[in-house]
Amino acid sequence: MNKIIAILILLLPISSFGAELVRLKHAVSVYADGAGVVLKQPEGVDCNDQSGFIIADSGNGRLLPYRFEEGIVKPAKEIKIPELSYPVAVKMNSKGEVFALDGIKRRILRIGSEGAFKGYVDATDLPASAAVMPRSFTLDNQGNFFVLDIFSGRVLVLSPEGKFLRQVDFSPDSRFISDVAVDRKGAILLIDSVLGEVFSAGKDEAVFVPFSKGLKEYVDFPVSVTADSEGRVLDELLDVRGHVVLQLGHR
Amino acid sequence: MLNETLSKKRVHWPLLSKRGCLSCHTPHASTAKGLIRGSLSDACAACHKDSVARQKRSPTKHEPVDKGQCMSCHVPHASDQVFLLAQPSVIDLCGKCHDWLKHSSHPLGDKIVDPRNKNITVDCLSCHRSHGTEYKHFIYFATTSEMCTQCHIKFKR
Repeated sequence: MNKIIAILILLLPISSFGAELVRLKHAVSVYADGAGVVLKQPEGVDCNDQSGFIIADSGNGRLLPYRFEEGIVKPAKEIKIPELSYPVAVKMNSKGEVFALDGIKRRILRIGSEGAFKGYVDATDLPASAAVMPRSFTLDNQGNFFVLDIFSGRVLVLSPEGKFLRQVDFSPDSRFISDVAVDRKGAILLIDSVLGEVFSAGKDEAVFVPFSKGLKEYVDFPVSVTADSEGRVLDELLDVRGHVVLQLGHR
Repeated sequence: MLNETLSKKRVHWPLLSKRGCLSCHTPHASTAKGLIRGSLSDACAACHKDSVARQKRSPTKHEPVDKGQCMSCHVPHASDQVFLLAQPSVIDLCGKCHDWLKHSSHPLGDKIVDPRNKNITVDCLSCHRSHGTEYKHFIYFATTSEMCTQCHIKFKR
């Protein structure tokens, strides 16, 4: 039950009945690292705007960076450190630093661009409810962290150094939130796996409101949400035998 | 129990949420074993109703799913396997009930690479979806020939 890491090229949107449609075209699938060692149950992937992407090869306890240029995938040196035993989510910032959520420690690690462990991203100066259980996380363009804290039912917004900036509590109508994303305008997006809904909170807003409904018609138990650089919200279900990517519109 | 649970690769996330154990258990009293909220299928279906509904639509019933015996295959707290499966090998897990080796010789196992994805091997789930599909024997396609020719491409018409 491995997921395939597929690179999809976003084609120009076409209009249909007034609604914008995004088409994705398969470019290449990534199965292994540069030495031919295959991926094992990878659970995370991230890309930057410099043709780089990185895979959390969870089953092998490592991160695999690559570059995708002119249609060719070029693997780079794997990142395998003793502090990271089971990466389940990975993000890159604009400085080339890598951040990974360890599924066993349930802490976010900071890794330098050269692949060395730099420490943990632990929230400091937290207000009441210091208990944090990160289920997922993401970064905005300024390097601020958005940590999906399922124990305290909130999204923690932290500075690049981990200092608490603000929090946004989950909507009382939500059931189980699995992933967090931030769009180009700074709005926070959450995917509720049980309800099959996306919730959003605008930048500096204090509450989450429903952004989309009725996803149950298309997906079973969606677990991933992201927003592209054009402001499109993409909701992705990673299913046992395939995946569905839904485009939910612009913010 | 807690230490062992939290040391696994995959913890059932509701256990770590605000509600924690109360996501599935009721601490004072229950008619169900393990102080589960309602029956086991009710507790699981509270979030995973899609899987329950899928079985209802399936023309072929998979008994542990149909009868709400989710723990026949899954470990509800934590596991090192995907989908909180109870065993590392899907073949061994299904083999607890299905003695397929006595009536089938289709290659299965860790040494049989799935032609569709070189990172996975052929096991029971290569052809069957355990919670059910809209097709007989819960295969992924309407006919067995469509199913088989996913791998045996040369026989595709």
